[in-house]
Amino acid sequence: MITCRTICIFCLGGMLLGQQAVTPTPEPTEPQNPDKIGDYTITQSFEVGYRALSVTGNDATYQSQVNYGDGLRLFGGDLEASSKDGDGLLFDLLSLKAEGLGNDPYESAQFKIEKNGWYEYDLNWRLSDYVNPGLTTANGVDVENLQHRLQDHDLTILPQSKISFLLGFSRSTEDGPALTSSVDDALGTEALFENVRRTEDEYRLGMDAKVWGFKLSILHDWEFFRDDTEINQGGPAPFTQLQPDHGETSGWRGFLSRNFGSTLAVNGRLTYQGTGHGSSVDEEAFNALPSTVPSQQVLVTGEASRPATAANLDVVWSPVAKISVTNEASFDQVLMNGNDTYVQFDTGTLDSVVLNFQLLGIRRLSDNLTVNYQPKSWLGFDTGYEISTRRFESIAEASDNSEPAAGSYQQTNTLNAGTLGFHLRLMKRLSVNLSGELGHTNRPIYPISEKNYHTFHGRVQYRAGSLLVAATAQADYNINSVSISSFSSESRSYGAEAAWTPKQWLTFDATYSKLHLNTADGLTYFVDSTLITGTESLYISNLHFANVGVRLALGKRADVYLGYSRVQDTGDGRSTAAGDGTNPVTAFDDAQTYPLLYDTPLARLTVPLQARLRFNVGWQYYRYNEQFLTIRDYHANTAYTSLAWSF
Amino acid sequence: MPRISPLYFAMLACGTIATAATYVGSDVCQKCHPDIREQFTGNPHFRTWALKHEQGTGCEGCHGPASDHVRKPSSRTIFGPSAHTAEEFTERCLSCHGTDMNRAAVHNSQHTRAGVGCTSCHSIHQSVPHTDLLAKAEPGLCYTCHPTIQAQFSMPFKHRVNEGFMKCSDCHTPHGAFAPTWRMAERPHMVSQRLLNEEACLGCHVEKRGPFVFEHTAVRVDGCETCHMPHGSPNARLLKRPVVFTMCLECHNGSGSGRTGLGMPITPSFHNMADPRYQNCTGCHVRIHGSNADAFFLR
Repeated sequence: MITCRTICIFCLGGMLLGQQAVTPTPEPTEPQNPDKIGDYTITQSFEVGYRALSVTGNDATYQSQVNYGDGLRLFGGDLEASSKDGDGLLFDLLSLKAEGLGNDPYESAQFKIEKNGWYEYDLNWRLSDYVNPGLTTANGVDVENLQHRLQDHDLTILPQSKISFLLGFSRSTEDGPALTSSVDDALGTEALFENVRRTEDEYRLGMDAKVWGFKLSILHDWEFFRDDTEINQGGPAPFTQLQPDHGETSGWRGFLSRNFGSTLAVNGRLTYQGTGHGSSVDEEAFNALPSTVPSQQVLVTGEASRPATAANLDVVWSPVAKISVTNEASFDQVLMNGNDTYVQFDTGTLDSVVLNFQLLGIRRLSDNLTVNYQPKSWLGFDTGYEISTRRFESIAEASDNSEPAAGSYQQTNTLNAGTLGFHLRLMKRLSVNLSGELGHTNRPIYPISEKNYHTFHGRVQYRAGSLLVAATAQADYNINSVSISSFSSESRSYGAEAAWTPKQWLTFDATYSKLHLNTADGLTYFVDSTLITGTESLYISNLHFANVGVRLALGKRADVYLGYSRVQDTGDGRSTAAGDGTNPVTAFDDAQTYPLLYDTPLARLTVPLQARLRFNVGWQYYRYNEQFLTIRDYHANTAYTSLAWSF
Repeated sequence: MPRISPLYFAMLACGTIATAATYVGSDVCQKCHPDIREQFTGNPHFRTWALKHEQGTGCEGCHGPASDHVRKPSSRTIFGPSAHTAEEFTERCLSCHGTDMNRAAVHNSQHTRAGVGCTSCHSIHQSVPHTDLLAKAEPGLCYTCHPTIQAQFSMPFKHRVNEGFMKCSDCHTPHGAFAPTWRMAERPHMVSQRLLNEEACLGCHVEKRGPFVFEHTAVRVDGCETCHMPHGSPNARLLKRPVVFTMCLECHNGSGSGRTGLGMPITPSFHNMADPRYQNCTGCHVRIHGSNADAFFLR
């Protein structure tokens, strides 16, 4: 019989594959000997400890990328009570899990309670406390924490019955400094940070019914968005925006599915949502850009709306066990319109611009037919064809034709794509999957959109007992020859992984990936009011990623984990940022390539003090180095010590 | 009385002759498998046992009638992992979950097409995280087959998946999803749709939903991935390029069709791109996802 400890060790081996942060400690306190109170079996475990931090270099960049700090916190907690025979008085399962509570920048808690046949309730709460990377240039600034909280509540009444009811509520809030629409010309047109206050509430009400072999789901939801950020910037470029920004979306969703034995299955969806936006904006601003206009008053009144409709019908037909035919038809339409009017009054020139709400409509119709053929249990093929046509229409009515997007325009783009796949499985240990896609669109909207593209994906996996070895390759190519210029992109990724548990006390895992990306695109821009054409934007990135880990159990006395993760962009191999000096804009000179190194070794020791009590200590080091620009570089040491116990 | 060949009993013992096995009940199973019975408490499948709605629930709900297995304990006399393929397991799971999980969606998913069956990700008896019977906790479970995605989540700038703040299933639907309502509906596969039919990103980044008086068409027509790498990136704000203007100018070079058919608008002449001031596009065009107050997304 497989022992509890064996199970835990094998599971830990698997968990290492995703291990990046040193905490919470995954080694369980064992043996888990659940308490039995009345008709319930109860298990609990908690890990509480202290995290320490030392940073040298750019502390703000560390906070933007990692953000673990000092202090006492609950690294992890788990409480579960389950009825012994699934027939508890008030509930059959109660579960509470928490991570990072108290001080960590990433905190979460999940609560679940259910009574078989009567109700299920799920609560998911999360907090992300992160520093904004302020500007998108490589030498940008990172400032201050923004807190993003998410909570979801879902209650299902009569969950295992033929008719069940659903009630849900979600809230998303952002609070803290973030980039706003405020621009300070005195500081060189840098975007300013303000204390943002954004809230989204979503309410859901629905039901599931299973009658006459059909499953019908209906859901109605209401979403309310409110941005109460106040901007009242003084100084040389005053800008005022005091009114809240409100939006509302409500919609219906209907699902209908039916299985006709094992040969035919149908799945359909119809959704409609209407987004309204009370976009009343009344603001005064000095134009932040170099312009003849000294100041403006902008007034936007009326209602904007965005009705969106989507419909899908998936049909799977399996006339014989070896063949299945899948057809996926979809339709969706988004229309942005309304009676909004935009008025811009320039105080310097006394000119005004009146713009009725711009209409942007997108309608798409697609169909995808796939045939799967499995002549043998170890051999399979699939092939498919997709046609998709998308039409968009843009209308703007402006009193001043200098406004962009004035007038109307329609365009239709059609995609034709084919897929082919091959699947081989030998002796249940070796599996090979190969697939490819070839596609063409006739009128892509953007220079970088897919036009003539092909992709390839392959994976080989060998699994024998506790040994897993696999390799993955993917390549995506696109060539988009449009008017004036052409664009091409090549993306190739390769991955290999291995996990092995030769002994109960020893586990290895290793992953390596290479992500290669290069793009070439024609450029048109101004330098000192001179139009530059005929140059090319060439971007090259060669990202290498490696992650290795080993877990060692020293009898029953201690568990040790050592890991190392490394990300390195080697660029195009150059050692200096400068190119051949032929391009007037340095960033476009020769090739855009930005080598960097980001690596994090970690170590963890965990010692069982008693059967239900463990002492843990760990260390993780972060290093971030950009080769050409060192202003954002940092080194950070984080360490923690904790006690984990179960009872 | 007809004589029965000894060969018949030999074949029966080997499981090469199917007999009309009958249900014996889960209480019989736990006499030989008490450890599995103990682990089964608290398992969602325990409901099929505890509710006792109909015959064939509990152990036999998945493993089939066990009378033959009781007479001849062997992996050949019961439906189990050693003698059946992932596809057969999927079909067995869909016999109950075909309505809830939706057979059509599961068959149409990229996972099923690649031979990934239910038991590739779910451990029915020994689920470790006790969440949806997963064999391992996310994201480690997903990384097992997607090492390049693990690489993306290990970049300096990334969504906090490894840190536990998010899960892969926050954005993805591993059991199959409807065609996306953005791009040309060809990709990405198995991505959840937020607020009924929107791109998954808008579930958290609600302030970018709009509608705006002035929409940045790229967001609405081709989606967030036009500029961002959703999993992780070596560049701030998950952008495709470390220097923002090099990315913007790849589209705004006068080529293509754009929203007006005149090509993507190029920058005005006072934008001296050799001046660092103009190389940080979003330093001025701060409402790049859409604005109610400025056609150039300045406010």
